[in-house]
Amino acid sequence: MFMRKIIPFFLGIFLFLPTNSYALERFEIFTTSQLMQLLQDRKDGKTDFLLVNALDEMIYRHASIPGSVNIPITQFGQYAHRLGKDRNKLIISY
Amino acid sequence: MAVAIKAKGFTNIKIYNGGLKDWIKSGNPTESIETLPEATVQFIDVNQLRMLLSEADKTNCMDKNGKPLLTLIDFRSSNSDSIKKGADKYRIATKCHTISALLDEFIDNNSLIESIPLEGLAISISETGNRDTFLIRYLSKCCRPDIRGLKYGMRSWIKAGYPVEKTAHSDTN
Repeated sequence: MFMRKIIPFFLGIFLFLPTNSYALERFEIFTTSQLMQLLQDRKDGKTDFLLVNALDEMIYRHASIPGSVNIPITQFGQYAHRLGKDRNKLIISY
Repeated sequence: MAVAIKAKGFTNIKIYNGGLKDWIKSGNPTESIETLPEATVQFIDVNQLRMLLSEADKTNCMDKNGKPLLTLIDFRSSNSDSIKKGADKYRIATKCHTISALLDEFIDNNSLIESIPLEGLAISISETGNRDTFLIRYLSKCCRPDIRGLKYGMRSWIKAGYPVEKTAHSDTN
């Protein structure tokens, strides 16, 4: 009986309390063909975005999608300035 | 990565989930600044490594001439302070020497590269075994050719239930 009352109470707390939920964030996923189209559009001057390669610099230097900017996830703080200042600009990371 | 970018205040973030692997698989071109040398990359599985370490640990990982039998090169990204800050960190428990560094720390870093002994076998350890090829190819150009990767990386070691030890690194976070 006690459990029947206490479980909904805690569920309510988890549902309505504001929390830092970045880890549960869902981001839109791009397919290869969508990315190809976007890169072509950028080349044609129809759109602008930042393509971020989050791999290690060693891998980036070896092979990368043309037009990428390297921001290794392991050194994010050091290279975050490469994201630029426009907070609304489209960023696609891989 | 997207989470880290969002935390910086950026609002319009998408993910290309296929990554470089799918991009290449689809026949698309890539660009390169410095292509890694071709090299034969060999892997050993987790049971082979366990066996090698068990044997080596019996003699403190040294041969009869005092040379190292085996060295581990742990280059998991979780060695980075920017990843999983504050989380406990574990590595393979062994008496053999473990070199801990990030992949990029090997670039043009002679003292780090030379810290890998020429004697004995060296085994690279990544998270899943996906990046070992890059390290081994890079090190092959710097006279460190006899390095094998651990197939499926640290994940396979943990999955097999083999011994791990908490690194000193985790105590400082």
